[in-house]
Amino acid sequence: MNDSENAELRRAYAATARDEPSPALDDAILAKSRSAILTDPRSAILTRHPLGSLFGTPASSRHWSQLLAVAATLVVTASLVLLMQQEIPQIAGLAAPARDTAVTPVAKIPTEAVQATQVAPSELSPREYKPRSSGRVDVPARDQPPEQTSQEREQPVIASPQLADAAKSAIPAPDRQAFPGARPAINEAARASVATPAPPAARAESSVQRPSAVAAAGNASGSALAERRSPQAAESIARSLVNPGFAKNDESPEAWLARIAEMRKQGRVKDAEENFAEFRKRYPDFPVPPAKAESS
Amino acid sequence: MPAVTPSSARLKRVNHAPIADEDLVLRYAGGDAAAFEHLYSRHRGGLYRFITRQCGDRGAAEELFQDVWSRVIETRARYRVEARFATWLYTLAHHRLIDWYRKSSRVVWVDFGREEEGIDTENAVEFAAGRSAQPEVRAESREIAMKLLVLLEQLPPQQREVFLLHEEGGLSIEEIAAATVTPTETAKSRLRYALAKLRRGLQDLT
Repeated sequence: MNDSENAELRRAYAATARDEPSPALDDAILAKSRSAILTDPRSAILTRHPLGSLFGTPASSRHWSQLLAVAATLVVTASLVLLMQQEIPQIAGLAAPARDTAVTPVAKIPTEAVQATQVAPSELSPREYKPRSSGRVDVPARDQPPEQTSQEREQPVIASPQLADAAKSAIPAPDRQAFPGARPAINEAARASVATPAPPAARAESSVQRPSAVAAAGNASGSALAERRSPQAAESIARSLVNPGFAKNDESPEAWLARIAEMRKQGRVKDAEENFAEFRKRYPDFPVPPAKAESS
Repeated sequence: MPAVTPSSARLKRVNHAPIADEDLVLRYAGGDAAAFEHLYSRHRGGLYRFITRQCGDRGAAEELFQDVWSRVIETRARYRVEARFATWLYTLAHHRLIDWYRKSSRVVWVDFGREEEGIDTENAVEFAAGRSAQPEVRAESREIAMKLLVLLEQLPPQQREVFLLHEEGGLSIEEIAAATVTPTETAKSRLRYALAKLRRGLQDLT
């Protein structure tokens, strides 16, 4: 009963005069509300900023602002991580050229590389660095030019950019395990840089042992050999280091040819071909018996 | 809510149902001036009538009305969504009225305390005569409405306040208790007494 009477009473009250504030009062209050926003620094920034509505403090806007803050943090963190990852290799790369350009460290390369080849024969490619079954002395040891002084070793290094390139590949001797690809690169670099290979001692010996060959080659080739002697000396050192299968300093051309033939008999066709190619570069005018030429 | 007068045309009647009062306050606190306009358009009439029919003086009512909204503007950043905005608004109005009661020379302030049932005039605020003689009320209302307003004026202030908070502000009993800083049962009994007196008054008049 009371509920119905109360409802009727409320309806009667709702029908009473609905007094309203005057327009002037409305304007005054609204003007104050707007001025309060303009004078508030925080509100002013949020109002003027294009994204200010996103940072309004209704519950939904707060939620979005929090999400944006988290997203911005993630983006900044990811950017920093990527930047650091990019900078680390650059920093490592800065240290490597320092070793490349230094004379003394570069001069040590042949010895280190030689030692590396001696130290890890198990890592050698069977095709390229197969141990000599003939019992010959290891090439790296033979390839060391004891008659060369440190200055002589250094000079070819400086004069030969090809050797420097090969040396760079050979520098990380301790890193051969980490960069096994360096060995093929060394081989390729050495082969690419070779024009007329011959270690100084080998060339000297060959010139001594085969004066006829030099003479037979003619003045042009002889002068070419002479011209190529110094710049190619370093190249020959590099080649001998990277491929102990090539001619040794004290090996005569005939012996070399014989060894090449032996390689073919052993089925080492690739080694034989490489050695013969190298032989031809060193002794382009050396007469090769037809049989050996065909087999090579 | 009725449409706003033409001079405040920018306060158009808009269906704000999707946007709660609390969100509007927070938006305004964040710098959205338009949010305040929406909020003001929703509660301007009810608050105005609440204040007017409590203090009985139109001039004073407008001043109090403006003071309450100024308080809302100044404390917007401190608003917390723990209570409805209407509760917060009418709580401000209640305290502003109390302050006005204490300062006005026309009112004898008596401490509001707990009321015994049926004894609702012991701790009453007495109003000066003249409040009931509002010419615009008698000129504009129908007979019953006029009688009702008269009866409303004759209610004890606490009961009238509770009635107006319920009818004009749309507050629940609990919200009324929170706004008036009174126990819930006290607010409930005051509303019950107010409604009973108004019904009796209308029955006596008819």
